Amino acid sequence: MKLRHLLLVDDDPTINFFNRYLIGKMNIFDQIHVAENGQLALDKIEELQKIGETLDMILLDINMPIMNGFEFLDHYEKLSDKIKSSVVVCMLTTSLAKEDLEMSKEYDLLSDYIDKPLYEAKMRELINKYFGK
Amino acid sequence: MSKCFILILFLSCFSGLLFGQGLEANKTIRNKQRVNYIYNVTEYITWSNIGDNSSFTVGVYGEDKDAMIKEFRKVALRKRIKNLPVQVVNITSVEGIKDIDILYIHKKSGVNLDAVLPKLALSEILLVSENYPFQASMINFMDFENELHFEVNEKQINDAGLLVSPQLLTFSIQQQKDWEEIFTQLEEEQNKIEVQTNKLESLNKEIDLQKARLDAQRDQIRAQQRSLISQEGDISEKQEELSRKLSEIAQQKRELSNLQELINRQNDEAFRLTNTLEQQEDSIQIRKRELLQQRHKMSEQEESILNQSEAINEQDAEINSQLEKMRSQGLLIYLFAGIIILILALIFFAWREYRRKKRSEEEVRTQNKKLIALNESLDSFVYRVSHDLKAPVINVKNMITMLKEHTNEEEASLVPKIIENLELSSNRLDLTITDLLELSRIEKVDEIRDEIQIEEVFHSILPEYQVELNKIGAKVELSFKDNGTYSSFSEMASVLQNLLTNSIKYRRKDTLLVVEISTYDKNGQTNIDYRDNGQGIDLKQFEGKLFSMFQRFTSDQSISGTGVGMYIIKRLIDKNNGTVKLESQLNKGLRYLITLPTKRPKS
Repeated sequence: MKLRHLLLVDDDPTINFFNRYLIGKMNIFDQIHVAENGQLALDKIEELQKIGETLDMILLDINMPIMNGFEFLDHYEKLSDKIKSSVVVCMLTTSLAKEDLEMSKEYDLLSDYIDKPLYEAKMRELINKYFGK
Repeated sequence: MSKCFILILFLSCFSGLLFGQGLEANKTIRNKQRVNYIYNVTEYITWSNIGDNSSFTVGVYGEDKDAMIKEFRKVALRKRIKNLPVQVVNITSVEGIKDIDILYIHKKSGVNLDAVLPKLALSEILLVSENYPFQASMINFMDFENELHFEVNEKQINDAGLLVSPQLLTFSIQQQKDWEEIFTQLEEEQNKIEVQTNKLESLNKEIDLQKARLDAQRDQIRAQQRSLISQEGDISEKQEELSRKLSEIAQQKRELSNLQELINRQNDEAFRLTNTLEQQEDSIQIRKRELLQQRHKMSEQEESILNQSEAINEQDAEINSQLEKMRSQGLLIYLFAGIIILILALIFFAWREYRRKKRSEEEVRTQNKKLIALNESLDSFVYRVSHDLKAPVINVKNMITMLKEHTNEEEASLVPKIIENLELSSNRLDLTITDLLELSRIEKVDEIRDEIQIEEVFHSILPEYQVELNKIGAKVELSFKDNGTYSSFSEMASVLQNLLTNSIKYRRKDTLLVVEISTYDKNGQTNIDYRDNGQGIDLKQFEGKLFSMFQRFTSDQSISGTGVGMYIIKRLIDKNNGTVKLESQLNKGLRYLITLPTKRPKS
């Protein structure tokens, strides 16, 4: 089984470069999209919706300029269920702050919370957990 | 008797409306009856040669203006006699009796009919009289109790050459006795009227007297009114003066209440200021305590960071030279890079180990509740810092992983990209550590404050930016006026450096940068007005975050930064007892309004 769309939301270009390389190599998704902050992520979702496509997964960082991860989730929550229903949203962050972890638990639509760096094994585990046969 | 009539007429004119109207109307009716009667009489008399005349002429003894004549003329306009138009003339003397067909004489005219009758012989003039004695005239009538009674002297009529119809004779009073009976009653009636008239006259006199008295009283009242009017003038003058005084008093009252309000406002303000001051003092005390605690922690941490930073800086230099070599030496590069990066990673792990160890040491002292609290307050700062430190280190690790994979592959197209990212990450590490040092320094050191000139501070930092400013064609416009302030020279230098750095970093691509700095004195404070025409910040979106640590307001990845610049500006201005405010619009530049104390505070 191959999934269609993954969205990486992170402001660090090196992280995006690496994660795109790592996940690309695993050959799970048809397309890997990148957004540098929450606002650009919302734009990307709208753009996909216009061509009738929906995301399968979002990997979301917390600390970003313009619109951070939590602010993105506040906006994302208001989108129609049709857009959200099949999407797995996962926090992927280096933030060590306990309050960030606490805050993450407030969001029901957040499926998982994992630390950077991302390894192939971690990614595989996620995929199996949410899209496994 | 005629005197009596005249008197009644006279009274009716003077005694006012009460009598007058009724009497006048009564008289008019009687005149109408007379005229009617005369018209009727003509029906029974034959004038033998009347057919030759073009009109029938009626003579009335009396003045032309008499009511009887007027009435007759009115009737004559529409009523003919013997089918001829009727003319009415007045006769004033016996000599004047001629060219008429009928003559009417009332007893009150005073004419003696014995003088008239001979003149009428064969004249074909019919004499009609009123109130004369029996058989003294041709046709004589009297008006008694609204009924006309008449007697006819046929002989006299025939003497005048006229014929009378026997029918008229049958209606007339035939006996002198009958006539005189009525005549006497009429006279009695008229006497009664005379008595009443006399009474009326005396009443009139009384009325005149009363009128005179009333006039006198009226004059008196008028005089009193005049004096009242003059008194009123005095009073209104006094009233005017009074109202002037009242309005003056009201004005003074208003002024007083304004003053009162002003005082109240000032009191409120003073009260509020006192409250604020108290609150600020409290928060300063708390902040001081925190700072002392933090300072203690920070100095420990700083020591370790300094060590790390030195090591990293050395490694950094080494990496750079190694990278140069690697580029020229092909595949060997990867090996060297790998080693260097491994060293970096080791340093990181050592640092992390050290921190873990330090944390475990702290755990040993968990019994000390104060230290736990202190640690927690530091936590959020450390977490934020660690995020910023960890991210580039993770990147370095990831790049090493990628490099390892590509070392053994023939296809190595990603290698330059990996090296580029390595460089990016180590630069970021350097930047973050530099900022951390700066942050720890501003929290730790209490710089010496003095009376300094902002202009001097600015010119001390300008040289390090001059080359960059020239390169990008930027213009700096200065207007230093009243720029003396009591603050730390080095901290103000740091503020200006951060301001300039941000203006250069976040300038607009389509416009040459213009920076305007002006200073002036306002309300005993030195104001710095700093403006640029750069990208600006959307205040609506970022209002609450502006001066927070590690906040960036751009998504442009090509501009490096850690998001501490504005935090440092705010922190340093606060430290120097100043205020800072930001005005900005996206793509329209921004403006900092900074105030600083002008003089050393009185201790």
